[in-house]
Amino acid sequence: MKRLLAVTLGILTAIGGFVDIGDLVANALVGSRYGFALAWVVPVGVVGICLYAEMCGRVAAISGRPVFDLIRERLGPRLGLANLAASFLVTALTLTAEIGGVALALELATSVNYLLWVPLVGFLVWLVIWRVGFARMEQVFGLAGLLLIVFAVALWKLGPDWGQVLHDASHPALPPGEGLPTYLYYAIALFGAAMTPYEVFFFSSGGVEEHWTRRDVGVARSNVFIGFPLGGVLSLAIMGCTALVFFPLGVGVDTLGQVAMPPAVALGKVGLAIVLVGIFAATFGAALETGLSAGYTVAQYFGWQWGKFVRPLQAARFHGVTLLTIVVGVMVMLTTVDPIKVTEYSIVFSAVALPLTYLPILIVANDPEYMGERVNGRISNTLGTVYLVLVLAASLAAIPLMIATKAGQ
Amino acid sequence: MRLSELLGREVTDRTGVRIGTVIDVRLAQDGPPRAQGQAALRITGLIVSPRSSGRLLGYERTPKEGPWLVRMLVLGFNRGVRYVPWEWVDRIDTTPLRVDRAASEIPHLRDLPTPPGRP
Amino acid sequence: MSGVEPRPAEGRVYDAYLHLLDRQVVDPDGELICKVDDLELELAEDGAAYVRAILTGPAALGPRIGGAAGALMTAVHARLSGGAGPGRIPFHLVADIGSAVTVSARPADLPIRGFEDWVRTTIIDAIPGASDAPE
Repeated sequence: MKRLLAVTLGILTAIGGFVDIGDLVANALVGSRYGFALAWVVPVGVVGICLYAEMCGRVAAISGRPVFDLIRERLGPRLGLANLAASFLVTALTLTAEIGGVALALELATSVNYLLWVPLVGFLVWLVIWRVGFARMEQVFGLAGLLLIVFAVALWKLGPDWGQVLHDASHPALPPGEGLPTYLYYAIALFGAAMTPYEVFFFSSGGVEEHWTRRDVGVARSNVFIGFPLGGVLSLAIMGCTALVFFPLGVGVDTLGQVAMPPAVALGKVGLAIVLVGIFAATFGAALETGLSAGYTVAQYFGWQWGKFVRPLQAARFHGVTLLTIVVGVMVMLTTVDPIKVTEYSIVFSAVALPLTYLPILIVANDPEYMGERVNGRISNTLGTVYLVLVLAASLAAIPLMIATKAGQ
Repeated sequence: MRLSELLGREVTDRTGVRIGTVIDVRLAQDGPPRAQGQAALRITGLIVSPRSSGRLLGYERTPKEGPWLVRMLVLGFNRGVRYVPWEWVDRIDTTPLRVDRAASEIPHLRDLPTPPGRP
Repeated sequence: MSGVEPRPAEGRVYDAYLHLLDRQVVDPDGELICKVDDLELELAEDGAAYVRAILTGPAALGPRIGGAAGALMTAVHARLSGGAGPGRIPFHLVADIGSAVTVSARPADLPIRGFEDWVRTTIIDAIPGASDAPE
């Protein structure tokens, strides 16, 4: 019974923790501009992250080693350092976006300008990382993030013609006035939002934080195969809401307030309150994850002691890096750069950086010296190769498309 | 001397014909016992590849498992990789490293038996 | 060394780059110590070469990274440490070579703590709760 409870908790945490500011912005924006024409990208991204996270979780459980530790071993110090630089920068950029997202959520709730919230948010993020235990931190924010189910409820309440929705989703068509390059650019952005690198750094490091062994492979898998797809459903609900509310009006979503509007429209003040708490929890939780991931990547490359499972005194450099990254994130936000723009850049660069982490993990998951008999099966390897091609294609196309479409104008 | 100083070094045979670059160093745990009683790691030979770029993601010698695409890439990359026993290296302070044999005498890695104790 | 027949290997065989370099070094309890950034060799009179120590830290990693980044790393370290060489763990302390390299000594006993100690005493120590056990 206790085991079942722990597994359920893990799944619920994974669902609630799946959505971050990148998913919120990407799905809302795409829904408002394309209706359901890009809905197919979400399941493609979810399958990818499930595949990738399962391999990382299995590697962490069997070998006791987290992702970035292995990247340097596989690529060597030179390429590993280049990889670290790219992955760290993308993670730091995502952290900055999450801090902005939390501040925006607080602004929506209190009407106090988000810039005034930014330093406080940075401090709180650091404080929770410093003081709150890993498991508890995960559970509290994961479960609170489940409140984002309000988007699904709102979608149902808005009463769309489901037959039409299914038709639009399965027959993607460019809305009038939209070009193919921009469509593809947003497809890549949505893909990058679903498959952000920090998620797997965090997942595998978290597995080591929680001392997973081979018996925990099942737990890891249930989190991934049930939790993430349901998280994907939440993403689709966000897309559906803006598709129903904004798309017919031809209004493109570009503020967090607009993202939060559909639940308010469908469910009134209660809906608004719930969605704001949900957004706060999801983005704050993601800020914790990206902050820790910034520390994980650097510490794991250099071999420093890392993690919340030891006293801070024993992992001084790790905590130093995390603290510094949060401080820089706060300072970047205080330059009054638009947090939504930062979010968009973070998800596109995530798509660019994906192959760097993906390929070494695919290799290690097949290495019997690490995995014993738990090497990849045929399904993992076939899907893995397909996604390798996809991930490479997205990575190569991202920057050119960004330039060609002026970041999706 | 550091082991990394051996990696990436050009290797030629007795007549000066280029054999490749050192991409790894093979060690055996059969040296004189150390303080704690364990045998020291002894250099038994150099793994030399004709391609000047470094190793490919750790699959060099035993790609028995893995995605077909990756295995094919690795097998292609491994063609031509040779093993130079340490005793055949003339001197290590020269650049390039000179091997005291003709190129035709230096074995290909895949023709050698798998060392004991390896998966 | 010419004319000497290769001595066949006995005991376990490893490839330095594949199995040793860039591996995590841990203590017997699994605490993380450092990475194997390089290995120190000892050359015997009969021409044989043995691995004498694990080298670690920017002074060992910098030269392996090479290029401008590596040179920068080595230079900054030399500056800040007053010309200290790389951290060194004698190889006889190595108890096991697996997915990590296990060393039978405590981190505190090994002469490789410079940066960690500096960050700890300068920044982390000052923050309340730094010595609290994890939840």
